[in-house]
Amino acid sequence: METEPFILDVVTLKRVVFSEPIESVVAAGTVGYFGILAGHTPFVSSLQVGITKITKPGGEKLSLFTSSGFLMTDGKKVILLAEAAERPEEIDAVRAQRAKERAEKRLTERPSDIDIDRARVALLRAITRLKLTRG
Amino acid sequence: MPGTKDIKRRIRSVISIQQITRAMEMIAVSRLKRAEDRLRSARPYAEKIQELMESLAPSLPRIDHPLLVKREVKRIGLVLITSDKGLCGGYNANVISRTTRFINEHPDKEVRLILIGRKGYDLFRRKTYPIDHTLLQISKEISLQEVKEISGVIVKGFQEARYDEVDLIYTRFQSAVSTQPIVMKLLPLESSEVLKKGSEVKGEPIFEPTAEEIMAYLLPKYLEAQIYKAMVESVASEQGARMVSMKSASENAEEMISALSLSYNKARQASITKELLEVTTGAEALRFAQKK
Repeated sequence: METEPFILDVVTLKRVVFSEPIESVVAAGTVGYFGILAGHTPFVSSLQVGITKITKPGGEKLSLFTSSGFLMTDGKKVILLAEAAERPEEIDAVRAQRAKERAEKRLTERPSDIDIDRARVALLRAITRLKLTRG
Repeated sequence: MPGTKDIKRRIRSVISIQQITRAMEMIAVSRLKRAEDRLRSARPYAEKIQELMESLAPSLPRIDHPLLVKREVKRIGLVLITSDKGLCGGYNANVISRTTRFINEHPDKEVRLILIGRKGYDLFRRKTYPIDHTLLQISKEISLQEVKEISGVIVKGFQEARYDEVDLIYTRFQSAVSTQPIVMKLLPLESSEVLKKGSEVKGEPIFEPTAEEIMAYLLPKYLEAQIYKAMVESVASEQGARMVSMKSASENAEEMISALSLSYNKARQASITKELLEVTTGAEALRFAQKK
């Protein structure tokens, strides 16, 4: 189905990661993945760590790593606010691997002073990043 | 009049000071440029999160969140952003005098400090105010971890009722020569302050999961965005202040060098004249003696 392209802005605290017309976007909402096409009804969702899949006009696809944030749309444009957002080529695989090992160690050893939820999220972030670098 | 040697030594030392101030000025210029870039790229996020906050505003009164609780204000948490390094003109002095004024304006309240930057810490650790947290050596890029460290302290303190209100004093950056210490209220968040544009309600969007849950998720992030922006602005102001003060220091050094060169030349001329006078009077005296 041909749809009208609409603008997607992916913005983090530090920079604008993506700002282009697109055909559709699929993002990891806190209650599950959802997709947005042009003319979507006004919608706001919180996001969890995940992969945001973008389809550009003409069918070219792009995946971004996005960590927790929000997505909002008024039907004409979509704004995605995330704590961190990276294109696959920007991901530091070595660092992600190290973060993964660190988080795993924390979760298996469980020293009393750590925040289990934080370690879990860190692990999820690392795994998601690695998944994206491996295509 | 001091001898030519002394003056020469002074000129040399002023020149080397000037070289340092010039170098510092150049560094400040390039850091200021980077800080301004960061400030520019931080703007979209701040604007968008504001927009999101506004779209949630209609449901704000229904929301019962620990960061929105209003209590009678007895204890204030005060976050203060100063620099780690000096030689930046009145930058730190301005922030600190604004802080002192703030504390004097709240005489019946207990003010507890959260300090960012060494200069503020060096001053306030010698005073009697309780210091709850310090963050020194902030990185040039300002990492998310640093922002979270501060917001974590604030949120925890507010939730545990250690603070009934949290304010932030930072230096607003308008341009390199125009900066201003500002007091910004961080907590409790008030709907009236969130809605700067007079709340144009465009019909409530669909919220997933719910407006309440999104709000709970958003509030700490909104706070982080504000703290980050204040830190970035402060760093830009610091570099601006340093650039300006180093520029005037270099100019003062230039003036001093020219004044000293003048007195050096005078002293040199005086000594030449004196020597000449001695030689001629000597010769004159000899000739006079021979004539006799």
